[in-house]
Amino acid sequence: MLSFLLSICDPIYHDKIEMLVNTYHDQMIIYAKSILKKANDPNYEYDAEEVVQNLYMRIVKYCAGVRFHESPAVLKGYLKKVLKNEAMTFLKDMEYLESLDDKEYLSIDDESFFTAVQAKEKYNAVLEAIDCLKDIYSYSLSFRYCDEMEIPDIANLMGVAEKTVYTRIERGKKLLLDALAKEGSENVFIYK
Amino acid sequence: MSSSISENKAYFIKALNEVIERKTQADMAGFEGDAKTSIRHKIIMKQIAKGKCFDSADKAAVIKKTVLIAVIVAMLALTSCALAIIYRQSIAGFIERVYEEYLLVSPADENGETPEEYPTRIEKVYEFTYIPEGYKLKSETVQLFVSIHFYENSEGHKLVLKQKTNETSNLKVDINNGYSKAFEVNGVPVYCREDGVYSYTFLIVNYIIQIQYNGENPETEMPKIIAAIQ
Repeated sequence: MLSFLLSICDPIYHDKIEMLVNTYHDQMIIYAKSILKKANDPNYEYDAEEVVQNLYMRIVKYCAGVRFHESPAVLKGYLKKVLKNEAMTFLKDMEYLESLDDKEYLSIDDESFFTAVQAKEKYNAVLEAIDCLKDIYSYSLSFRYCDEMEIPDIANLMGVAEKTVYTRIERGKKLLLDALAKEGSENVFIYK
Repeated sequence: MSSSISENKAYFIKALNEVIERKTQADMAGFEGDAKTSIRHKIIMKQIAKGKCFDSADKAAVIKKTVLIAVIVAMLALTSCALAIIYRQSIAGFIERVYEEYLLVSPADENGETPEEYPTRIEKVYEFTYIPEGYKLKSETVQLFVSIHFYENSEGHKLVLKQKTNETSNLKVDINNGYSKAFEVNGVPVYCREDGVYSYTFLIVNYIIQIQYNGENPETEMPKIIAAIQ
């Protein structure tokens, strides 16, 4: 996970990110699990990893605004606050993703997925749809399809369970197809 | 159909790559760190593409470094083993020759066989008090009936002092095998045999002393060495 975070992080913050992950990772996972469990998330064990990674991605993106110099207690409080927001956002996203499941976006195989994307004639619309994806989804898709990495390798790289990677790829595909559908094209999707 | 799938996939990959690259560039534009960031990023991406990623980039570097060190250590160990074997063989060969020479002058019974045990034990261990310059003690063995001091210099020349108990005050020397009287030290006759290595044999009290030497100037050095044995 650390290598992935550092690869997308400004090098002047590498030490701080390493310190943060090494010091607070376990505590953040526990806290994320407790939030998700209270919210009746059946997959809270796996989803906690995703929420914590979202937290890191946000911090990496906005390193300059993070008060690393504060005391450990203040920094921990700050992290918990951001984590709680991330968990709330995640739960909202989950609601949306479940609504996509209702639209029978379940288990879209690669062949159908590529065909569906290709069917979108406006290339810019595809770019825009991909651009709208959260980083964790677009990176997961990129590792899987552009770099042709195996799922265990992606899991190893991103520091999450293999199931989480599967879920991210599936969700990424669903979200992408949904975004393309909203763009207005008809007969875009081929469902299994 | 397969080409169509391949085209569809290529279309998606092209779009995905374009977005990722744009996002990466946009993120890095705000970096305050040096330009190595983008290089590092590309390296990691390459590792990813090759499936060579680990939990952390540093871990990969550590593993690479560890493997390199392990290879170097293994090579050093092998070289050391080879040198040790060569060295041991050379010492073993030399000791073997010393032992053979020793048998030639060891006391024999009526049947000409060497008794396995000797009635007396070594009570005083004789040592060199003078040795030629550059020689250093490599090993020292003192047992009940025999003691061996092994010296060597940087050029590989050897000097061995062997002391063995003798049940009589007579020394039987196998003259047929090339031993001859070389000189006397304090009235004690010293017998010598030269076969690439000089072997000097003589008695001190009831001990047989044998010296092996393949260094320089044995004619001048050996009387001094023997005279200084105490």
